[in-house]
Amino acid sequence: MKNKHFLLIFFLFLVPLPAFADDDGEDAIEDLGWVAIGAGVIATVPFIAFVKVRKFAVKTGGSTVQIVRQMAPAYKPILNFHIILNSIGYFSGMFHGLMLSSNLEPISLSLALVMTVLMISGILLRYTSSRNAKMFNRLLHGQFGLVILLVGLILLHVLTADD
Amino acid sequence: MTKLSLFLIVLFALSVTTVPVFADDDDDDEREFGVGENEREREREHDDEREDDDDDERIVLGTGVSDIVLYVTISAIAGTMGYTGYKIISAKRPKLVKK
Repeated sequence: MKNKHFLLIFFLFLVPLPAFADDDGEDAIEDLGWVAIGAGVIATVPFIAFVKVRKFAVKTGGSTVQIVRQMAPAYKPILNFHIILNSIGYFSGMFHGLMLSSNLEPISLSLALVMTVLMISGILLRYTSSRNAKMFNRLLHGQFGLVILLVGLILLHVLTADD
Repeated sequence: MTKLSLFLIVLFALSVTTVPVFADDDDDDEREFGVGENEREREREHDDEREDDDDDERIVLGTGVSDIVLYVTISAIAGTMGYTGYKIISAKRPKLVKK
């Protein structure tokens, strides 16, 4: 069973590879950047929506608690989907950056920094058992300011990349 | 020594010996096509000039207006981490009750 999961995760990491099937090298590397953005959006938006709906249902109480109970089994699969797709997006983005590292500029560097901080805090949040580390990473990973900064930097990067 | 390790040693030796042969290919081609020394030097100078131009076009880190974005990002990350750490420490410390 574990081998099956490993194979599935391995094949998911190969998803960005078709970007290289393009004839032009520059276009392929650019496509890798779009793969990173797409994977990030698909991985994050449904997860945030799920968590917000669950929180809202718990807060309102009453009959909505039944909805929360029904939603509970779906949490783990959605979390795994969020982790795997974001990992794919992160590595696609990093390869995109490394291949175009000759054109490095401050906005791309800032984007790479924010992505790395969010990725490391996410991995530590999932895989550490220490209570303090978990609490620190939970707060850091969920900081609204960092998310806004990431979205802003992606927009800036897309707008200024061709210059 | 197993057959596999022997095979690997032979493969490694072959790869080491064949690399220099391919490394010389460019010079041989030039000699075959009759590219003169002066012409080659001129090409090299032209390439160097082009590389210098590319360096000038690149944005150098540490200067310029776009660096503000980088500084803001670094300070935002440091600030967020500091704020998170402060929140955890302040939550752990028991509040003193005045009598």
